[in-house]
Amino acid sequence: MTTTVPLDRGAAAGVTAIVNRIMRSAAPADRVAARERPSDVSAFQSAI
Amino acid sequence: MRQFVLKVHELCNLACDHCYVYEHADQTWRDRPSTMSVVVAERTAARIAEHAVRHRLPSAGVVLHGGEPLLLGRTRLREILTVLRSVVGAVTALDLRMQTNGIRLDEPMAELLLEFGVRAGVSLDGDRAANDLHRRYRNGASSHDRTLRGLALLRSPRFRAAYAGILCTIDVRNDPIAVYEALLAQEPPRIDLLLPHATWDEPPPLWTAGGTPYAAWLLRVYRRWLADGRPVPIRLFDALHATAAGRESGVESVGADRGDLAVVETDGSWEQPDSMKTAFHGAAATGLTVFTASVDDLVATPAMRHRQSGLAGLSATCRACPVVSRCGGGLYAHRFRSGSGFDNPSVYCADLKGLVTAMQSDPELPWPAFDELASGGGDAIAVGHLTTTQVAINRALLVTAADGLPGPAWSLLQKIDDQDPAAVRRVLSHPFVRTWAVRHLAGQDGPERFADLVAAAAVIAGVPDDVTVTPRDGRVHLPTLGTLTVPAEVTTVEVTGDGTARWPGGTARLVPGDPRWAPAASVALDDVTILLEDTDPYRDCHGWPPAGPLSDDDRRSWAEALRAAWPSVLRDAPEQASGLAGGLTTITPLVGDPVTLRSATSRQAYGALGIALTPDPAALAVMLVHEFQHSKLGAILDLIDLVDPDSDVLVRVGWRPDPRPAELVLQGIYAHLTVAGMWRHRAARGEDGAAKHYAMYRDWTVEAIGRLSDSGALTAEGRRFVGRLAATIGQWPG
Repeated sequence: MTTTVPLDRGAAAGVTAIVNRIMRSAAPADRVAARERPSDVSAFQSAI
Repeated sequence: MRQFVLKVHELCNLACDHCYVYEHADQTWRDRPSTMSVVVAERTAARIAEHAVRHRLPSAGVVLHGGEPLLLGRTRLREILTVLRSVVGAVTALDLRMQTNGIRLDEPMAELLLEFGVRAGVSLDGDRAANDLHRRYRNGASSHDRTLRGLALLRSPRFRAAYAGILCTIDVRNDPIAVYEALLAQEPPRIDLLLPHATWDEPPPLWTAGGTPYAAWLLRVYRRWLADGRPVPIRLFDALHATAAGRESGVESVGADRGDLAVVETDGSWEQPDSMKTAFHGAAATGLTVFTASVDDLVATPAMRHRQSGLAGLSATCRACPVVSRCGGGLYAHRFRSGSGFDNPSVYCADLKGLVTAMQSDPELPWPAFDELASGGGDAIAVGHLTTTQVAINRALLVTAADGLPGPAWSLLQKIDDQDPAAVRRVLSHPFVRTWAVRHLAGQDGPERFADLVAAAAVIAGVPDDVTVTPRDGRVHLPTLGTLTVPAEVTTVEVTGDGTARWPGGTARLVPGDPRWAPAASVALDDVTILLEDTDPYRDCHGWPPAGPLSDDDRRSWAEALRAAWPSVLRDAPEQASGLAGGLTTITPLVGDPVTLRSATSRQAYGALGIALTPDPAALAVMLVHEFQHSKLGAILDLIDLVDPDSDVLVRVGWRPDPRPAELVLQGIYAHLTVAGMWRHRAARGEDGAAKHYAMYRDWTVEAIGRLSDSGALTAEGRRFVGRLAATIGQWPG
């Protein structure tokens, strides 16, 4: 196992699984953990 | 030749619709005797013994096969086993096996197997749903319960020695993890995962040209198997690991091993391996029998010689392929196509190539690092693994997009990668490479950004080459370096690696002092330098509007705020500080709100945090630690499913009124645990209000850990992860 992905077009077949996985996670609306927190923590708001 | 399959019973008590013996091209079973006679068995044993003596074989393997061998009954089986033990066992070590569906396996039969030292492999395709897909009786009834009964016998201490393992034929319509878990539950000494026999004439289910559904299915099992610590040998994966290490695969289906297996049919015919029956009627035939021909005669037949010719016997396509030593062209039978015979790659070529290359190049998180990160912390080394895998992912995204990217820029990036890999790594570590790449691969953005990346790498490496980049709104942004302003009408700019830029009618030097060049802003904290990203057009990914470009005063304010907050990070988050210093590269200033604090993290931008400036160092420290936890967990989730991707469970949490998806609950737990930890340290120093904050975050986290653990949404790895988080917070005062 290696973390080296050659910058070679021929390497594309070997990284299909990880690329598909990343593309599946690319739905931005629910993948951004944005939050606003007023100074009063009882009114904490979060997107998580 | 060291392995011999003896077809002792031609018929079967099941009618599995995927069986190559009855349901594929070859139908020779119809004309054969239903059982192997003792006469045939004696002649076969004599041929094997003769071969063992002639070639001084230290051992020979014999597999009793069918049909279903147990249909032979105990009396006939005993006769055949007696012959084999007395004739073959007299001259070499005899490894006796049987392949069975297990249905007729009862205690007396298991006693017979023990008595003769026979180890049985049982065919089972997974859980009940998976097994019922094919493995049924002629009347359609399920065989699952009966097979499990036979397996229960083999699992028992008394008969364990007669248990060889489980053979599972893959159907990609089955859930791979459910299949894997069902097989594991039978505690087999070994698992065989078989690709269903198929050819180019008759491709397997759900096969499409160039598609890789079988690789995807197997990779899910492979990753889970690795995560479990390889609890049982899985022959296919072990074989591919062996070929990766330059060793023999030990199997026919992959690697360059020459076939060393022959079949004897019930009538005494010598045949090629059984899988040939999928190719065409009579494909396994050799024209020889145990009565007329020795094993050496068999090996000398053209068909067997070709099978044994190893890599030299493969198609030209295979011989030119970079992974040929790994897959070996796949199983011989799977190469068949009418017209060209076996002179083809396997019908599983794309799957095999995808599988072996993914096993080589998958970004990997070592388990010690996983466990350290799962405790809530993670030092620079553990976080370094995440950073490395994120760069690998960015490279994978670029490779996948390469065909649509400009050729000269692509070639230059390859050249720089060879000459100065650190320059490429620096640029591809930039969080906003991926925000562009995923948009581009999704068809939502053009390729222009790629030239910006290459130009930045060229300038860092100082190569003498040019890159043509496209300004947007009069600006060229070179990631991690800065922004060049050009006249609005300019459509292309040539950036040279020596740090100059030219366009029709103008030039600039990409150095501080040139009025058209604005270097990227950064803040140095101890030995960490953080990019203040206020110009990259792809930084807008945090759910709140980004600020920028910053004025000099703004930059000074940021530097002061971060320097004031950093000691609090070191003091209040000691378990996270070194990882944070190692992994945080970028802060995207957000547009602030007069009343609230504001911060965010994007799954697509590892190492970048979106923060609205606050002058409160204690609050800024919490935001840094909190948000970087999200960045770490996002990077882990890129590699490992902690939450079942098919789960739609919602979990109630303390920090929001509405029930939340399991993955977001996990994100909340991971971040809030560290926030609780920071307030714990502050409370211990007696800071005002800290105890209240600690109690709130701790209670939220503990409650959410309990609910998420009970939700059924976590994978095995997720349970391990959350278990470690629970252990961490369990040590803190309540």
